[in-house]
Order: sequence, then C-alpha cells, then structure tokens
Amino acid sequence: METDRKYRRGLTACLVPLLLSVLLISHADDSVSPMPGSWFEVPKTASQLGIVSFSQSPILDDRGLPPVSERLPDDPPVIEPLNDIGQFGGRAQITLGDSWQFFNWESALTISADLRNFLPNLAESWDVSADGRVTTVRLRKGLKWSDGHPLTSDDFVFTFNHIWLDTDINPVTSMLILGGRIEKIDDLTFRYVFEDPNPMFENLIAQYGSFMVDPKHFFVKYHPSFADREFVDAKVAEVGVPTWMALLDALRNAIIDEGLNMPTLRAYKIVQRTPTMVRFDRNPYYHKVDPQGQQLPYIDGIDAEDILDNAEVVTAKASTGQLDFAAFTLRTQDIPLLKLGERNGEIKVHIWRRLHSSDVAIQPNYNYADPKYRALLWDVRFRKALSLAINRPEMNEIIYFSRGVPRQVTVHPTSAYFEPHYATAYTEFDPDEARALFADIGLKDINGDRLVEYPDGSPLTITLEFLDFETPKGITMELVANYWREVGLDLRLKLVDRALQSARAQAGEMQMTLWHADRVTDILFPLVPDWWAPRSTGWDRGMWNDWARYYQTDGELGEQPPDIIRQMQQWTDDMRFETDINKRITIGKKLLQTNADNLWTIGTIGLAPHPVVVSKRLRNVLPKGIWGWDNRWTLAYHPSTWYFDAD
Amino acid sequence: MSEVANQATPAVVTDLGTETLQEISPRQLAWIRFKRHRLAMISAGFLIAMYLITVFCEFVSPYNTDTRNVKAINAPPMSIHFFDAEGNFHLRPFVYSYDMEINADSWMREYKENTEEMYPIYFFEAGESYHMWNLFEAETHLFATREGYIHVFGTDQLGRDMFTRVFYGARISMSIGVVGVMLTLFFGVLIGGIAGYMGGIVDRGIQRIIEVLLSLPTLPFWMALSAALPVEWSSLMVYFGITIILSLFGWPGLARQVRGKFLALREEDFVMAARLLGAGRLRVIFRHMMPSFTSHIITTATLAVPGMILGETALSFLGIGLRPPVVSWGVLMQQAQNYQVIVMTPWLMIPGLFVVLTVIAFNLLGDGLRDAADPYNTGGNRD
Amino acid sequence: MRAYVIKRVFGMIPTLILISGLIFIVIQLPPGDIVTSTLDRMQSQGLEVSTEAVANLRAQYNLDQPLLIQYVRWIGGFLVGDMGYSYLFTRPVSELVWERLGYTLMITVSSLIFTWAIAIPAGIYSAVRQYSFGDYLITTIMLVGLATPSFLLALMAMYAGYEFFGISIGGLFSPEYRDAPWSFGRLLDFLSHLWIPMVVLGLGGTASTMRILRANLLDELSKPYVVTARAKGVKPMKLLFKYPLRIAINPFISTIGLLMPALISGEAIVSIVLGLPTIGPALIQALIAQDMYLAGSFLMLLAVLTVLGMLLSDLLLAWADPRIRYE
Repeated sequence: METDRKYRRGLTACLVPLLLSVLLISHADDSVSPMPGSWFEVPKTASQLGIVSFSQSPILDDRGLPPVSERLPDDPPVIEPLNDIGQFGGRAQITLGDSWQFFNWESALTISADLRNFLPNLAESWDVSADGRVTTVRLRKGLKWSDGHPLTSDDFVFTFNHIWLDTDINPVTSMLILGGRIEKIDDLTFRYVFEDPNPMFENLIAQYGSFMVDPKHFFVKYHPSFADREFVDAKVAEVGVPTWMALLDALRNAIIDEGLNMPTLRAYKIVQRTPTMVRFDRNPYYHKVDPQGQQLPYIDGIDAEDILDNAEVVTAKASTGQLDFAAFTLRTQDIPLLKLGERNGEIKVHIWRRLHSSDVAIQPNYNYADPKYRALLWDVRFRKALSLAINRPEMNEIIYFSRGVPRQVTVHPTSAYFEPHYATAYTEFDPDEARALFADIGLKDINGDRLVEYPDGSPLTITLEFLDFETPKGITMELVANYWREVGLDLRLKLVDRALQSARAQAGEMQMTLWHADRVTDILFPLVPDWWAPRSTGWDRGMWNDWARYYQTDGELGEQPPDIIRQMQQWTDDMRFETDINKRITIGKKLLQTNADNLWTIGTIGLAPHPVVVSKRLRNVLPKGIWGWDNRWTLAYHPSTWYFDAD
Repeated sequence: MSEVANQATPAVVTDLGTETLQEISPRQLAWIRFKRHRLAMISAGFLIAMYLITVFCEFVSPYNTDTRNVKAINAPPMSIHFFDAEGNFHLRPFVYSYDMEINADSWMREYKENTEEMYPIYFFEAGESYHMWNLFEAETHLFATREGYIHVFGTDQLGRDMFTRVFYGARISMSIGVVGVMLTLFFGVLIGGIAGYMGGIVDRGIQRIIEVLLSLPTLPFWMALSAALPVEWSSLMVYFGITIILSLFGWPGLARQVRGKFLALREEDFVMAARLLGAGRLRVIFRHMMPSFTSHIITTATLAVPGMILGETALSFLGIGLRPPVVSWGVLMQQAQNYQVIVMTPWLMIPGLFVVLTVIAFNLLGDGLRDAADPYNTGGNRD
Repeated sequence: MRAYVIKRVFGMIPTLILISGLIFIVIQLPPGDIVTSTLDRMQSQGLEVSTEAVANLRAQYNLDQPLLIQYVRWIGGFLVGDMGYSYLFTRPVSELVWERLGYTLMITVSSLIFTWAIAIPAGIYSAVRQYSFGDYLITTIMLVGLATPSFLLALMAMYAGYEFFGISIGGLFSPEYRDAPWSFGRLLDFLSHLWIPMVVLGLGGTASTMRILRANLLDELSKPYVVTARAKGVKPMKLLFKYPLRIAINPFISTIGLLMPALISGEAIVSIVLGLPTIGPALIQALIAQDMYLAGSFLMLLAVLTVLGMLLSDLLLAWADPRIRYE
C-alpha cells in the first residue's frame, strides 16, 4: 500500500493552493485519482491471498462447461477493483470505437498504473539478461484460450515465426523485431533472443504484446505452412478474398463466420457481427479473479455499435445516456454538452488527462525540396520566433477552458526522463521578440502587405497540411495561423484525409504537418523516440523522412543528415542498447535537452482534459486517469473490474 | 419536362387580347407579369440587398473576419436595447457588456448582461481599419460601439463576430453561385447549341456524354475532383477550382434543354420564314432563335444558383470544400454541423438561415421570371 | 417497335463503356492509393513499416501494372459478377453491396414515395388555386425543405427525434431490436427510425417535383379540351383526375431512372450524419481511402441501374407514344 499512500499524499498536496507557475510544471499528481496499491505491483495470486473457492457469473451456469476452477489457471492472478467488489451481469452498450478501451488486450506483460514499469499478466514472471539480448518469459500454469485449449509457448513461437517473420504477411520485417528469434524452452517457457542488445523488448511485449500471441491451433488450419495448400486455396476462393493473408485477416476480424470461432485471451469473445454492430460475450476461460474469487469480468456481454466513425453521433449518444461508456472520439470541446447530460442525471462525465505532451506537435519539414525554405526552417531563430508568436495562455482559455498546460513536445511528467524546463522552453508569448527574430534573419515586409517576404523579396507562404482527428487540431491551427499572421508570417492550412496525409508526409512533400505528441511516457519514449530524432518514417511524421531513411538503410537511401542530427540518431541507438537504466536516462535527457534547445517540433497545449463518459449504472471506472496510446487508454486501469450497479 | 410541354413562341403582343388596346413591348409585358408574382418581387428585393451588402461587407460589418474577442467566446447574440435597466428611454440604441464566467461544474461559458456597462451604438463610426476591395484603407463602419464590443449574431468558438462572418461568407458563397452558373451557362449553351444545330453524329455523341454525366451521382465526383486540387493552390485558386467543379456537373442538364429548344425551334414557322426570306445561318440563330429562348435561359440560370450554393455547403460538410481562413457559408456551417451546436450554441447556425433564405429567394425569383418571361406557360395558354 | 428496342439497347453499350472509363479515371484521380492506406493501418497498430514494403504491397494489389490492364481486370470481373475485394472492409465487395443495398433501397424508395405523397397533392392544389394564399404557403414550405442543406436538416431532425419523440440517436433500430428477428415490434421500431432519413431525404425533392407538376398541370388545364369539358359541365374533380393530371404526371414516370443518382448523393450525406449502414457512407469512405474496387463497383452498379431505368422509361414512352420511335 506504499504507492497508495504516495498518491493520496499527492492528492492532498494539490488541494493546497499553488502558484500558477508551479501548477504548470507540477508533477501531474493532481490529475490522477488514488488507485489500489496492487495496481502498481506484481498482482498477487489466489493462493497468496488464501482464496480457495472460485465462483462464476450465473450466466455460465448450465452451459455444460467444466467447473470454473478448472477453467481458471492453476493459480489465477487477483485484480483488486477500484472501489468495491462488483456483481455479475448486464450487457454494455458501447460503440465499436470504444471497444478497445472497454476490454483491453491481454499480453504476456502489462503496464503498471505509474506508466513506468511493467507487471506480469499471462506471464508468471520474466527476466531480461544482463546484456539485454535475451528476454525469457515463463507463462502461468493452466492458462486457456476461450475454447478451452491450453495456452503454451507454441502459440508464441508460431506467432513470431509464422506471422511476424512470414514474408507474405509482412513483406518487410518490422524494425522492432529485426535480428530477433524465438526459442521454446518448455511448454510454458520461451525466450526472445536478439543479435544486438534489446533490453526494452519488454516494453514492446507489454504495449504491443497483443500482436505477439495468436492461437496456433486455430490458425494452422488456414496457414499454408501447416495446412494443405489446396484446402487453403479453395477456402480463399470460397470466401472471395484475394490471398491467404487476406483470409487470415478476415478470420481475425470475424468478417466471415468461421472467424467467430477464433479463440481469444481477452475478457470478451466476439459472437456475432452484423453490418451495424458486433456482439461480444464473456470469455468463460478468462484468467483473472477478484479478491473474493469471482471470475472476471463482471459484465456479461457487450453490444458494440458500428457507427462508421461518426464522432458526432457518438457524442450525441453519449450525452443523452445511450452508451455505457464513451471516450475515444470525444473531444475537449464536447465537455459542456456532456456535462449538460450529466446534470440530466443520465451519465457521469469523468475528466481524465490526455498524456499527449502537446495536443498539436507542429512539424516543419527539414527535408522539403525547396532549398530556400529548408534553409529558413533550419535557422533556429526562425523556429523560436514561430514558438514565441503563439499565445498559449489565450489558446488555453479559448479551447481548453484554461485547464490544459502550455507545453513543448517533450516527455510526460511521469517520466524518469522529464525535466520541467524541457516543457516550458520558449512557450512564453512574445510577439515583439518573434518580429525581432524575423528581422534578424532578414525576413521583412517589402511589398507592404504586412506579411514578411524572403530576404531576396520573393514571397514566403507556408502551407501546413494536416489530418483533423482525435485532439482539437483544426481549431488550434486556426488560432496558430492567426498568431503567425499577426507577426507577419503567411500560414495556409489544408485539411487532408488519412491516405493523403500518409502519402505526402512520408514522401516529404508537405511543407509542414502535425500530429499529437503521444509515445511520451517511459513505456514508449525510450523505445520509439520518434519526435526527437529521425529514425523511422510514419504517416504522422513529416519533418525529416529523408534523414530517417538514411538512418534506416545505413546511408543507402535518403540523405545524409547534419552532424547534430546524426548525434540525435546515435543517442537513440545508445538509449535502445543501454542496459543500465541510469545511463539510459542520462542519454535520454541529452536527447531531450538538445531538442528543447533546438525546437525541432513546436508544441502548443498538452496534458489536456479528456472526457470519459460512463452511464449512471457503470461502476469502478477511475474518475481521473491518464488517457492515451502509451497506456492503451485503459490498460493499467483494469476495465475487467467494471460492473453494473443493479439499482 | 415543362419545357417539353410548352412550345415557346415569341411574344406576340396582339395576342394579349382585346382588353389591352395599347401596344406594349414584350419587355413591358414581362414586367407586368413579374410584378403579379409578389413573392418573386420580395425575393428580388432581398437578393439585391444581399448582393449590395456582399459588395460592401467590409463597411457593413463591425469587425474583420479574424478579429477575436477573447472575452466573448461562444457568446450568444447581444440584444440591442432602447430602454436601460431603469426603464429610461435612449434614442441611441445600445448594448450591455457581457460578464463571462466559466462555470466550474458545467464547464460552460455563462454570459450575463452587465447593466452597469452600456455601449451606445454609433453609425458611420470609425472602427477597425480594413482594406476595402484590396484597394484602399478605410475604417468607417456602418455601425460600431466606441468602447466595448457588439456581437449582434453572437460569436463563434474563437470569439469571432458572427455578424461579420455571415456577410463575408455571403460574398464568397453568393458569388460562387453566380460565377458557377455563368460557367454552366457557357458550357451548356455552347454544347447544347452545337448539338441542337449540328444534329447527326455530333448530336448523338454529345447526347451520349450528357446521358453519362446525368446517370452518375455528383457527390463522389465532386469529392474526387476536389481531392485532386493541388495542395499548393492559393485560396483564390481553390475558390475558382471549386466553382468549376460545381459547374462541371451542371451543364449537361442545361445543354439538354438548350438542344431540345433548338430542335423544336428549327421546325418553327418563323424560323422557316426567316430562312426562306434568305437570312443567313448565323442571323437565324442570333436574331431569331436566340431571343426566343434567352428568357428561358435566364430562368434556368436563376434556378441553378441555389444548387451551387448548396453544393458548396455539401463539399464543406465533407471537409473538401473551401478552407479557413477563407470565410464562406459552407466553411461557417462546417463549424455548426454537430449536435452540440444545436443544443448549446444555436446562433452558430445563423449562416444556415441565410443559406435557406437565399436559396428560397432564388427559387421564387426564378418562378417569377419564368411566369413573366413566358406568358403562355402559366395558365394563359390559349393556343 | 422492335427496331427501336434493338437500337436503344445497343445504344446503351457505348454509354456504359464511357461511364466505366470515367469512373475509373475519377477514382484514380486523388493522390494516394490503397497501399498507403494499408500501410497506415499497419503503422497505427504499432508496426513500423519501412518504405520498401510499399513496392511489395503494390505488387500484391496489382497496382504495379499499367492502368489499362487494371481497368480491364476490374471491368472484366464486374461483367461476370465479380465486383472485386474491398481492402478497406477486408471482404468481397458484393457482400458489402448486398448487405447495405437493402437499407439503401428502403430509405430511397420510401423517401421517393414520401416525396410524391406530399408533392402531388400539393402540386394539384397549387395549380388549381394558383396565386392563392395557400399556393404561396405550400410553395414556401416546400422551398424551405429544398433550401435547407440536408446535413443541417438531418441534424435537426435527429435532435428533434430524440428530444421530442424519444427516438434513440443513430442507426435504424433501438438497442433492444437491433439484432432481434423480424417481428411486429421490430417493424414498428424500424419505422419509427426510418421516418427521419425518409423525411430529410424526401423533403429536398418535394419542392421541385411539386413545382414541375404545378407548371405541367397549369399548361394542361388551359388546353381547349379542358375548357370544352368544363363548358359541357363535367364535374371539376372528375375532370381533373380524368385527363390533365394523368398527362401532367407522365413526365415523372419517365424520369424515375434519373432520380437514382441524386438520391444516392443525398442519401450519403444524410446517412453520414445519422450514422446509417447504407451504401452512401461506405462509398464516401471507399473514395477517401482509395479503395478502388469498392468505390468503382458501387458507382458502376449505380450507373447500370440508372441506365437501365432510363432505358425502361424510354421503352415505356415509346410504347405509349409511337412518334418517339421515329425520332
């Protein structure tokens, strides 16, 4: 309960009035509710807590299933609910977009609620060798897939060798597992072995781990490495998919009825799919229990409506109490409407905080084709001017009800790598200094339109293309365009769709683009520090893809980066290979410090409020949590302990 | 369809009947007819007023489109008072300032009129300076307050004056309608005319193309084409690009009508007569055939404008039309296309009201024009 | 007659070829393709994919072949009923079409019926009582329907439906009936949800239909045979329904085919706002994600239906009016 006390202290501390400046850089303690101490520790097992008898949801009675104690692992992990022990029953009404949050992935490891450490989940224990090259995982005894088939090392080996390393499925091996192989030791023990040190492979197992285990006994029927090729080809033709890889996809997504038979380890199992909705029932073999020995989850089933990504309909439904849980597509600016619904008594609106270091990370393209534009962007004075011209307090008031934090793109306050000044560098509003910096560079208004031109008199306009999704990007950029225009810079905005964003960002065709800065906690930052150094390309990044390509291909493709960027890339390598955590933190801080000095990306407002709507009957949902991809939104907060109050 | 039913004949004045002995020109006749259509008259007045405002919108609006009032984010429309809180009458209208508070529980910005602080409204008053027609600097506004602020239609989520934005938006949206229709007319008349006059293989080819274009849903094509507009284009070029895209699918309908008219007119007695009297080809077309359906074209054009205006809003709804900082009705309504606006900030839907009014006005005007231009169309066809 | 039918049927072929070419071009027009969207999906699952993967994937999807070959593959498949495979929805296009076509037709057909049910009586009234207060009132109300952008109308209807009638937002069924087998209760529930898209979509067409009917009817009413009949003392109502109305309605029957494209465009927007599982939103998604087979086959199917509709109405007209055959 040590951690519990720590968090309670944090909460009390925030009740004490603090100076605003302190609040801005405070250690986000105020933004998280107190949680059970066990959420920060290796989960106790039933035998450790002296639980001897187990019970199941009444809905599973008389189904001809083996007794619950035989379906559970030999010594199941015990999960402590947030407030109270729940009761079985009910079907949750949610949208398909929120299903990833309502019942999360199950992988060998999971994330601690401090968003720094990892805890065993399917694994009983794991260890990383001293040189960081070998990660050994020991599974719990008696784990079973949702069809009762035992989970063994073979499932992991199959997935690694025949899904991840299959060149038909993944024509190019993902960088994250490059140079790796898997070795089975016995039925419950296996290890991942890498040529280079890979001490943070555990981060990957915990965060991306759902991709690391598929039910071998199901997929061998359709995988040409195991099944009869003629049978597979016939199946492909029958289903009408172009390839056997697409057949696996169709099975995995339960698009064809046979996919409904695919076993899972998650708390719920898909049982029906229609054009408008997906139904899930509880997985009778789910491996967790509550402190009274009741098999989790509490809620019996889920009806997830597929409303075609229509965020407006989701917001409207959420505000009128038609959904038991909604959060993914809700936005900060929806909070007043949702609060109105709360006053009508239909729902509760929890305000979580997004972990995004900044809701908008503006990315100038340093590899843009026009040399004049590149040279301008590469001038640190220009980037500082761009940052100083943004009136973040006003932006905070207009868009975030003054409840966000003006911030640059750096790590989350929970991170061991965090220093407050990384976040506050050049966040002050100083338009005069911005104008002075422009003048310094030689940018001046020659033709009298109140907008600056290049020193040689040619027009300077910047087009920023972006995808408006999740965080309030559109409205933020409308403000930024105004601020920049006020100091004389002509910024044009262009909304693009996802395909275009991807194509143009990766090809380096955008002058500027943006995305929200997640991957900023210790779960992902040291593993994929993409905001701070060019090391991989992606649809969300458009600032230095040629340099990233150079790095990826050892100079075969792309373009040689300047020395300082080479240094950044070197540091990310050093960080990835470093087995000593303290040394790793020192390297990481150098990377972040250099970025704070150079401002290669420009942030706006971060750690912003995020609405999480729960119906009046749903219990045990954390009132204040940290929302975002690093935590897979709810992974550390145990959604399997949510339940419906009968009244 | 109605066009098929009525064979247009040039207005023959004597046909007006015995009760009108005095001779009047076709134009006068049309005007008399038009005046009978009272709704069309009102609509014409409304549209003239709107177009005048769009021409002078810098002057009519109290602010510039991008001016933010941080004290009034999502503020409801201000009421204009003549009587103050004590009940005293003021000849000069005034508004009260707003007290804003973000309610800690509801997260709502609550606005209350502060009766302590009143801002009288002055007319032809100096305010924010603007660049009139990109030609000269000016700062006189139709109305403004000397201190404080005035938001007759409220403000949007960035605190920008909706009144200002509605009329700046009108400039873009209403001109897109007119420019687009002109393009449509150009293509429609040209292509339809060629098909109708040439006949034969040319006619059949064009007919086929028209048939193709008419049998495709326009929306996907608008989408694909606007997605293909180059990113680097300036807002002015995007504006013309969108206009051209909107008119690309308007011309086939018009071309078909024009062709039909041409075919019908070719066989008319008066055309035959003109030809027999030795009039040249072009003279027959321009002197005899054209005048007999210009009225029809004007009507069709009027009725096509609202389609363009609505098309622009549809493109904006899908996020592929014009983009900020350009202000158009479509752009403004894109902000208003969510449930929250209806419940919490309904004044953001005011641009929608203007779209509705303008579209109705154009339709009524078109009806009136049709009735007026073609006396045999509306109830008076005595053959 | 037979010669006309043959001429007309064969005339369709070049039209359809033109249409298919146009559709193919338009789908290729926006930058990006399904490969970029696929890569996004992999990347957003946390898989880091390097640039070489693109070429491989392109080959997998036959996108490395010349455009003409791609076109021939697509249209060849379409001709034999194989509409291809949707990479966006990871399933055969034909399944998607059949799944959504039912709801789409229900909505469009019911809104068409709604349009006529409102527009025809209104048109008759307006024609008979030309320039009366009622004429103006009806015209104005119809015009409001025409003039309100459909997404705005849909939003307001959604709000009103929930606020005043307690209809659940989004979708075509209440949660309790969503997957229940068809029953009387489910039918009622469906109808209570159907009216919103039906009215929203139908209102747009009502004004123009009514206006055209009014104009046609006015033309007919002033013809000598009507005057004669009236002079001979035929009852006004009987007279109206016996001849002029029939003739005035004729043109509508002949243009049903042409209504299809417009209805689909409108349906797409309304369905997006209301979150309905119809063809429109899927088509829009497919276009955005560059899912060529899905978008192309949807559009082609619509075009074929429209052209067939036009053919049918032409044949009907030719049968009814011999003059047309010799045009």
